[in-house]
Amino acid sequence: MTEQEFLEFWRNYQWTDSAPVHYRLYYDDAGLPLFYSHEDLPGKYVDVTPEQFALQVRSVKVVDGKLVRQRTARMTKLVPADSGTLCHVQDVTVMVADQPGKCWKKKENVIETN
Amino acid sequence: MAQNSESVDYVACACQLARSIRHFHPDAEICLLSDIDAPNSDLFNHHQNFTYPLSENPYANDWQAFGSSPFRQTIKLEADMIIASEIDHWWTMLEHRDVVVSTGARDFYDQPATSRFYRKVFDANNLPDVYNAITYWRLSPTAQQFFQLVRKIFENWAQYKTLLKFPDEIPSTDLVYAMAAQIMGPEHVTLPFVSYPRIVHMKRGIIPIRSDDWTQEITWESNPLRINTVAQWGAVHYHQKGWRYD
Repeated sequence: MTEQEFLEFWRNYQWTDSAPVHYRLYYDDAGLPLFYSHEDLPGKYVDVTPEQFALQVRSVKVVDGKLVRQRTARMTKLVPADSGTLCHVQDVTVMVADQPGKCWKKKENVIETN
Repeated sequence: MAQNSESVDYVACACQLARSIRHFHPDAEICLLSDIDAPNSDLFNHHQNFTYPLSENPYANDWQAFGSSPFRQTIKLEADMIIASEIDHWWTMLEHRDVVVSTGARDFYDQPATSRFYRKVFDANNLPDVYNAITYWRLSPTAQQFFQLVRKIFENWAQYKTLLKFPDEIPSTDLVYAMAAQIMGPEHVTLPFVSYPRIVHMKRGIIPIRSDDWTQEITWESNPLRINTVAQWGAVHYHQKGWRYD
């Protein structure tokens, strides 16, 4: 290729538009994350920063079009149960052994603390 | 008073409230004001529908309680509450007044709520710290004037909100009651120095919990109602509308 041919090619070649790079988090109807993707796919999505994309954090939720970090904690509480510690019918702080009572046991709940 | 929304069955809450009142006061006269036909329940002595067309903002229908009550003296209770003890002594104090809107809230340890998280607009505007969840009135010109004022504020919120710093776009009943109380004179419609009636508020900003749903974190017992082993008295505003006591 001569220099003249190269310059002619350079001037006349129709360059294709470069596809924009997407940084997206697709999410479901509840706002919970489905997947991060560079692709333009059907479904709900929110644009994220390249840094957020790189981290691919799953403990997030989309609220009003914004990414909200989901903070959770495990809490243990007493709940009535068929088995467990027998307590006074009207007072969980009083344990009984030889009279009608109500059983209580520990239950762990995962709660959102946002 | 119960007006169902898309997500909350306030009539079910009202039935639960009526049941808790009946537990301590079997002969109490209870009226349900709602926008549905009479529920299949013998908990209520009376059932009234809203007389006037309903506003889009469900709070804005509150003023209709005054005209709908079949009683000479009425205590209006918000539907999402439980009565945890006898409350007939309320009448003894309230009957000396024309209107009393409860002031202040407390946590389930029976300590006055000091958090102002939900009351910023009240503080910014020096409004009385009222909670419409418990409102008493007797048939009187004062009560009529109060509820007319409540109606007027709701229906002309665009004008009234210009009187406030940092107003809400959609007014809450508490805020409108506070404005009405301020206009009429808090000394006529509140008893700020009494310790009852005062609701137990179970919102996250008031009690020591980490999420919005206290029922996931705190142990509670029924009959009698104890929260975190502390026996409750008076009115408990449980806030989690789906919570069922029994």
